[in-house]
Amino acid sequence: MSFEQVLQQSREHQAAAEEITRFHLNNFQKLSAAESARLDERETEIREISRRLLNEAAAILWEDLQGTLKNIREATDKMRSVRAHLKSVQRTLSFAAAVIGLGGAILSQNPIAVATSALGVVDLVNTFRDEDDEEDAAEEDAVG
Amino acid sequence: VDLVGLRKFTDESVKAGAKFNDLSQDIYRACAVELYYQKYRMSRFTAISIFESPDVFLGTLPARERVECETAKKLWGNFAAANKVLMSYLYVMGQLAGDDIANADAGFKAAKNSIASLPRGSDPIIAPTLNIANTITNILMDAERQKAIKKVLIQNNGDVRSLTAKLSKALITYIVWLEKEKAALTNMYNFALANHQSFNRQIQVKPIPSDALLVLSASANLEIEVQKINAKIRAAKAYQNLLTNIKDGHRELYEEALYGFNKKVAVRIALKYAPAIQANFDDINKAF
Repeated sequence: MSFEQVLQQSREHQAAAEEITRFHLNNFQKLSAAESARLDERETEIREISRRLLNEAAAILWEDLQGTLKNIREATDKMRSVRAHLKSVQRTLSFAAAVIGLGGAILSQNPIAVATSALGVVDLVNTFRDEDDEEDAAEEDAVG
Repeated sequence: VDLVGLRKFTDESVKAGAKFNDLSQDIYRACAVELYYQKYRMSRFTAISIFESPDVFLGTLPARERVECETAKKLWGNFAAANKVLMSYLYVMGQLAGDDIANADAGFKAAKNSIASLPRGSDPIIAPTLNIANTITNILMDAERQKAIKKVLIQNNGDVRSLTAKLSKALITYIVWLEKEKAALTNMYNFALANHQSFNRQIQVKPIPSDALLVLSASANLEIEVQKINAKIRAAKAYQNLLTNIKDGHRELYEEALYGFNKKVAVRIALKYAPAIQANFDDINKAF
C-alpha cells in the first residue's frame, strides 16, 4: 500500500473512534457502567490501530527516501571536496608568501626578523587548523 | 556579480531548516499526551499524576501501550536526520558560493609584501606578474566553484525534489498527530463536564445546576490549549511551505544551470526566494 492509502486508513480509524466518542457522550446518562467500559475498550483499540497505521505510513516514506539521501550526501561531499581544493590553493599561496618572507629574513641575516618570520609560518599553519575546526563547528551549529 | 548572493537563499533555508528538530521532537510529546488525555478520561478522572514529560508518563504504561509513541520517536529521529542531509547540502552549496574561499587576493598580496621585503628590493617585473597571476587564479577558482555548483544543481534537482516532497508528506503525519491530540483534549473536557452532571444527578441535587461558571471556565481552558495546538499545525504547514520554496528555488537554479548558469540570473533567483523563506521561518517561530 502507498503512503496515501495507509494515511487514509489511519484517518478513517480516527474518525471511527470519534464516532464512538460522540455516541458515548450523547448517551452518557443512558449507558450502564459496563456498557461505557466496553465502548471505551473498543475506542481504545481503534485509536491504537490508527496510531499504528500513522507510523506505518511514515515508515513507507522513510523506506522510499534511502536512495535519495545517499545521492544528496554524495553531492554534498563532492561540493565539500571542491571547496577544500579551492581552499588549499588559497592556503598554498598564503603559505608560499610566508615562506618567501622567511627566506627574505634569512638573507637579511637579521635574527629577530628570522624569528618573527618563522613564528609567522607556524601561526599560519595553526590558523589553518583553527579555521577547519571553526568551520566544522559552524556547520554543526547551522544545520542542527 | 558575485555568486555570494546565492548564500542568501541557502542561509535563510538552513536557518529555518534547523527548526525541524523542534517539530520532530514534538511528535513524541503529542503521542504521549493523546494517550494521557485518553487514560485520564477513561479512568473517570480518578487520581492520575500530572503529565510531567513523555518519558515519565509512558514509563507508567505497559510496553504494548507505549510502543507506537516510541516507534514515532524513532521514525522522526530518522526524518530529522534526513532533513539535516538537505540542510547540509544547502549549507555546503552556500559555503562554496561564498566569496571568502574562491579568492586568491590575500595570498598574492602577502606574496607581494614578502617579495618587497627581500634585501635587494622588489624586482619591477615581479609585481605586475603577480597581479596577472592573481587575476588568472581568481578566474580559475571562480570557474571551478561555478562549474561545481552548476553540476550539483543539474545532477541533484530530482533528489532535492524527492526529498522535499517526502519530508512534506511526513509533516502531514505530524499534523495528524496534532489533530489526534486536539481531539483527545476536547473529549477529555467534554467527558469531564458530562461526569460532573452525572455526579450532580447521583447526589440528587435539585434542580441540577446548570454550572455556567464551570462550563465557561472549562471552555476557556480548552480554548487556550486548542490554540497552542493550532499554532503548531500552522508551524508544520509553514515548514511545508519552506520545503516548497526550497524545491522551487532549486528547480529555477537548476533550469538556469541547464542553460549556462548566468551568475546574475542565479543570484536574482536566490534573492527572489529568500524573503518567502524568511517569512516561513517567522511563522514556524510563532509556535516553536
